Amino acid sequence: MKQLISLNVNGEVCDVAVEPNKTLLEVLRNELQMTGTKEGCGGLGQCGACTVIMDGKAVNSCLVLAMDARDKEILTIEGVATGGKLHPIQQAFLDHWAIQCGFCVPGIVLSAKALFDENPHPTEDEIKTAIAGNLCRCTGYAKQKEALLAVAGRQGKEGEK
Amino acid sequence: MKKRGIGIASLVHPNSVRYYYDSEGSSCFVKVHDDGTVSVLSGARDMGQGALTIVAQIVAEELGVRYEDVKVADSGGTEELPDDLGAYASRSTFISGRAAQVAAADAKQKLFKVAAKMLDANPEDIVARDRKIFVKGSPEKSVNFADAVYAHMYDPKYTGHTLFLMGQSSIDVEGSEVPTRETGYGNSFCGNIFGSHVAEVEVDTETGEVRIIKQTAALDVGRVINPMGTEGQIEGAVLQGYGWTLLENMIWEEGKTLNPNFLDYRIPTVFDAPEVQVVMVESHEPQGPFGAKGVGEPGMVPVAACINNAIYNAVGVRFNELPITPEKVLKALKEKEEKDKAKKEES
Amino acid sequence: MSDAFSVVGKRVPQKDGVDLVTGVGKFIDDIVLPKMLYGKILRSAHAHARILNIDTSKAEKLPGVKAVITAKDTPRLRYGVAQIYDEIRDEPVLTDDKVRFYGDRVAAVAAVDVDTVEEALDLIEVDYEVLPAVFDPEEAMKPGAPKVHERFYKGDGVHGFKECEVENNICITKRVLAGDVEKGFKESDVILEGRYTAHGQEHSHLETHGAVAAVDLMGNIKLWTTTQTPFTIRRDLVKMLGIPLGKIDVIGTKCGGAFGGKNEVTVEPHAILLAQKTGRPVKMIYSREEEFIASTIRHPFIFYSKIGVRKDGKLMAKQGKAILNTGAYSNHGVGVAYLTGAIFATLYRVENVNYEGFVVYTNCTYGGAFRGYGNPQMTFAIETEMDRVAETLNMDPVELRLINAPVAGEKSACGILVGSCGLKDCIAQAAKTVGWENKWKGWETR
Repeated sequence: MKQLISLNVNGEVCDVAVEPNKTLLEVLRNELQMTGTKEGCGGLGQCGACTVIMDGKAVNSCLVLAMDARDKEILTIEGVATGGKLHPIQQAFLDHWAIQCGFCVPGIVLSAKALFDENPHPTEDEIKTAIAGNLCRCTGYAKQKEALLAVAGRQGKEGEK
Repeated sequence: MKKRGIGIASLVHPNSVRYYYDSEGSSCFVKVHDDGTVSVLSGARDMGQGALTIVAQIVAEELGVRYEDVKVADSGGTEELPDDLGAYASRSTFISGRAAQVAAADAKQKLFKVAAKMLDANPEDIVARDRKIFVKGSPEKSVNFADAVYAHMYDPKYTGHTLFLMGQSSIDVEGSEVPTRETGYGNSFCGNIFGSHVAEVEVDTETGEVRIIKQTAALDVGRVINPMGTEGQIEGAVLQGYGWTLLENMIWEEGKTLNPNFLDYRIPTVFDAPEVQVVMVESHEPQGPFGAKGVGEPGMVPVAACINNAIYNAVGVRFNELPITPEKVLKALKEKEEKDKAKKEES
Repeated sequence: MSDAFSVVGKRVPQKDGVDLVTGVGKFIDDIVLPKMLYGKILRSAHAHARILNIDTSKAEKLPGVKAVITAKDTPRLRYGVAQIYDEIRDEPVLTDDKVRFYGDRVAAVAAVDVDTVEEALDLIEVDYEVLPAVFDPEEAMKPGAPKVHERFYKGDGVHGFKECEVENNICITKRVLAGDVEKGFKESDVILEGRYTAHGQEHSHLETHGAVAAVDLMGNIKLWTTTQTPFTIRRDLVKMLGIPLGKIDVIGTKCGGAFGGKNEVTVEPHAILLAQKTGRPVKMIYSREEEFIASTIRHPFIFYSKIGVRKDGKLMAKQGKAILNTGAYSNHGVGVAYLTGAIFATLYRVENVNYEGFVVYTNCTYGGAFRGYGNPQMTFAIETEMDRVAETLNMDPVELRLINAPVAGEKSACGILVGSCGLKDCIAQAAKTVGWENKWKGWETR
């Protein structure tokens, strides 16, 4: 039996009718038509393609019930670029060819953003830990590491200003 | 104890094989707008390897415009897109890219008939680069690319015609053949890539785990269209080879897959990724666009062999079975230890 | 990277990069059409079984189910991957006689949502007669082994198709023959033999297979799919469903990785049939579990190698027997068996080659195209053997490879023209980059 709930997604509050057993991923994609967040592993939380940021923490939205996402601030890939400008992580991914097929990219961008929001100058190990739960089959992770290290460096320089 | 070793392996791989079909075709349409921008309808299929990007670079170079001036259609189906056999066998740059170059060249030779008149020169003596068409050796004698296009389309005074500017191509690879059934003889490779990889590995003799510290991949890639794209293909392929050799194993019991998920079938994560150094040995492939070859597959081919050879160099055990799991490494090390002990006792 | 070029050789970002990095790029599961239904395939409950009866009545009555199809709703044709050469047609859209592996396709359902589809699949009752199964290809080749296929259709691209018996589960044997290996072995100072096995591999592209089919009132079909080969898929669908080429438009959506796994049809024919039956668009997406169970994999490979070499390092003869476990259907097995033979004869200069590649049916998940197409398996075997040869001759493995490396303009033993060939350069540069001279300290192991 569907229940009406409010979800705060990318700064907008929307009312949506959901079944109690539906995940946040399913509701984002099917009810809110926000298809940037992807499903890759059958909803088992094993690939990270469904990563969103919930109250500042990167989570697998396939493991979060939509009902449990009420009253939380949710950020999806659709909300990362703001004011018509790409986020530095997105720009770095473009500049470094850190994208191939692009399917894992929304998830990795959000995992990385959660890290950078908390720690603007992460080490390589901290970056790897942040994206360790995001599987990518195309890139070998080399250029993704490169892009995120560049963001860490760039942010460092801006921070100094 | 952690022991390091080094191993080498070579590869050869085709850029498409004339086998299932006696055709290795592709086709392309190029449409030039009178503001100097270009739209391309290419049969190239992008599956993340960057085919559309490579096509755009090739067309931009051939026509003499900038990369940002070229758009490649990223949607559409078999009704409107020109035919192409698809993205497989490392053929996208080599064949679909070549079709794009030929189509751009077709548009360019039409444009040059008008541009030559504008410059009072012969079409063979003019070149296009960076949005300008100029006389070879005299770059000050130039017209803007866009102005020449406009003239081609709307000003009859140069050639007596006003025609919209398009180029097209339909190509097949020359010189390759379907091999004979009886002996497999025949030049079926439409192009070839050779290469050599060296793996530096570390073997943990207590856990049996093997890690690649660094993979050096030297590949004969022809002309590199986009270094980031080439590196990306090889980095991704190396990690897939690493996963196949050391981590991934489909466990079947009486035909049933026991591990049909990403937790139990382990594909590499960022922590598994070794340092990969790509050495691009440039040469010239006559049938490739600007001499380019396709690099989609070769990065994967010798990885298992060079890991195996490197493990032998590190700890003296060699495997004839994949995957090389920690259990197998430990078992082999134990057998070696017992053998070495027995040999010592004999002598 | 030369300055003779202004765009080629430059590190420019991808054309579709902005769409992908903002989540705007549309992959197959992002496609939503008005009144769209969802479909799934019922898979086999056994590795090998005859189908005695399928009762779909309970599934059809489930509220929300709009269509259920079995083999009787298909043209009952067999299809294969090859277009004109070594054509083997052994694969059905939905099986009408036997299931040959756990992922085999028994029926398909379209319903208003995925939950209803999955409930309906459970309601389809299939009577199976379980048959003995075979999983090891060398066992499958022995007389008396359970037969995966009794008969299939074989063509040579010229004289049409013939229905043939399958003997000893051998789908096809590919040969690459050159020179005289016996003479070559007689002239060798060292002969090494080895047996190698390489396992399968699942493509694991992050985006699973999928298709959306829509049919208009004139019977024109629009098919969105994540395939690598839209034009080839279109021709395949024409062959397997008997529809005119002009009636089907195949649209490739953004492809979330493929590596060879999206070379041929998976759910496309079923989506079309269900769309035709219901008059509504139908979306069918593989689950991750289906990717492992039902989609193609890298061919598991057994290789018997015999190499003869002179004491100065020159390769004199190579003999090889490859056994490819092609699983339940031939798919790309034929091409893979040919390519591994061609690689065997081409990687190094050698005059005398005898290669036999057997493509063998078993009741396993079936092999298809996967990055390298048999080459990684073959290279694992032959490049490990080259190191064994080098060790036996107490030669630096780099030196042994340089001695036998072909150069541009040569033809390999099986007639492959070596075009621009940088193998010697590649070996030298790889060795130099890693400092091979200082790091490789001979065959004395630590």
